[in-house]
Amino acid sequence: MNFWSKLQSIDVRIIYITVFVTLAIPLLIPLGIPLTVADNSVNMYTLIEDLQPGDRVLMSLDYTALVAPEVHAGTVAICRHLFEKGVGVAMFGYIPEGPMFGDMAINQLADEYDLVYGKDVVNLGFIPGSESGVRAFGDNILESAPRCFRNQVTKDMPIMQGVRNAADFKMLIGIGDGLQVMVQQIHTVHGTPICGVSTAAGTTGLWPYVNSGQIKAMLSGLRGCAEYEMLVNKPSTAVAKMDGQSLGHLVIILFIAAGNIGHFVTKKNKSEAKQ
Amino acid sequence: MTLWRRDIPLLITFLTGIIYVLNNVGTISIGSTTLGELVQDLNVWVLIVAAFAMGVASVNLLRLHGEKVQRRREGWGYSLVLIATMLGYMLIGALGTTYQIPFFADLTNLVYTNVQSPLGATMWAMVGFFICSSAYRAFRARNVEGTIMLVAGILVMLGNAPIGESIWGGFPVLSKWLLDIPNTAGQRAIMIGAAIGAFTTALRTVTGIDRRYMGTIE
Repeated sequence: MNFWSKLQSIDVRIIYITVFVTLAIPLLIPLGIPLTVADNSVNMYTLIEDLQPGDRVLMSLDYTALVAPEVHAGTVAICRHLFEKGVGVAMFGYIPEGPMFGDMAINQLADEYDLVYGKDVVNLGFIPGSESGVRAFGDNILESAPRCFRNQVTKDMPIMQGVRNAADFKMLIGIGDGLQVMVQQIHTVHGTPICGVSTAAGTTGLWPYVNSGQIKAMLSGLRGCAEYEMLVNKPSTAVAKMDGQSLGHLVIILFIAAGNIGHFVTKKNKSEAKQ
Repeated sequence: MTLWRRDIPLLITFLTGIIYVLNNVGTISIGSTTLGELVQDLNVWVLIVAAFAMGVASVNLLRLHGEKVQRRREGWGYSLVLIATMLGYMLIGALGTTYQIPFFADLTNLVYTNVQSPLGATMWAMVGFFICSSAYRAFRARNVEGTIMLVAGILVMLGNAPIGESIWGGFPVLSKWLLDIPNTAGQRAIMIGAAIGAFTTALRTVTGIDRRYMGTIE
């Protein structure tokens, strides 16, 4: 097997080691590759910036520990923006683990923004029943979540006063895999504007909703979260991971290029040998 | 027997389906209530049934793995770990979250943050390695379709990573165009196809043609 043939079948262990080293280096020694902010992130920022103190938003946290490293930074960055503006946040999730991340964000930011649970923020917890559950929740929030994640009665909370259904919230911010369900079961029924954060892999499937305006703005994956951290002037974990993502993409492209060069040269050599 | 096992479930399914369809037609009153209110009640029932389903699933899991441990079947040790983890985390979760006992609340978060989160993140991170390996093998310009996929993939990758923009400012523009035009067109076609498929399935279920949900294929 000559060099060009070998380029087409590089040992998988070499690929894995190269990827690992490439991702590890920028985490240990940040490279500071410049990060620009895309229009989508600016749109998202503007939507939240336009909210007034005292407004309320719903935040649907629909992700597990698997994708949390990609989107949880977005939850924290958006919460920072909302709390800074004095906007009330009611969290829930139709994936059991989601509300747990909500509580983590609340605990992380509670002291920084002097949050009063039940007044500034509430975690309504897990809503079972998948899409049907979300529909029921949107139609009658207090009946679907009579007690919150911390086992307190929700109807007595200041943040929940006057709430009947999803239309009583200025916006719904979906984080993770639930944006499509939120469009279908909340926006279509109650007209609540939707925006949020999707995983990079989920972006392509949700993009038609962004183009149609059913999703007002959407941050895409880790990069979107990093851009939002820049917008709220709190660069954190997402920004720190961007160098790794850049180099990771570059390594994948280099391997693809190597495979294709090997493929073409071998093909050319074979056709020349035939002649 | 068929009355209870077939006819009544079919009637319930038919009536429920019709109620939901009619609710979308307009405001219809039934005595002192409206169809909309009835639908809202039915939606809350869904929440209750779904919550019970989770309980049933937990009991089923315990029975299945409990039997495996009891009979010392192959891999019973793993089942024991599963049962202990499930019951243990359920207990500390209930004490910490539901009853707000600070020690257990901290323990719940500690276990989740230091066990479940890193394990989940590891599983997802491994996908990155597999993607790199499979992209290297699959993205070959062997034919026109393969070349289109290869070029589109590389453009989107460079458009999304900050380094792509540092190399050439046009990468994000091209990436956005691919997302906006060809991707949206393709995704919409898939969505509409899936929606028509879902509607057909719903219609077959409501009218009793498709009875597989009852556990029988007739």
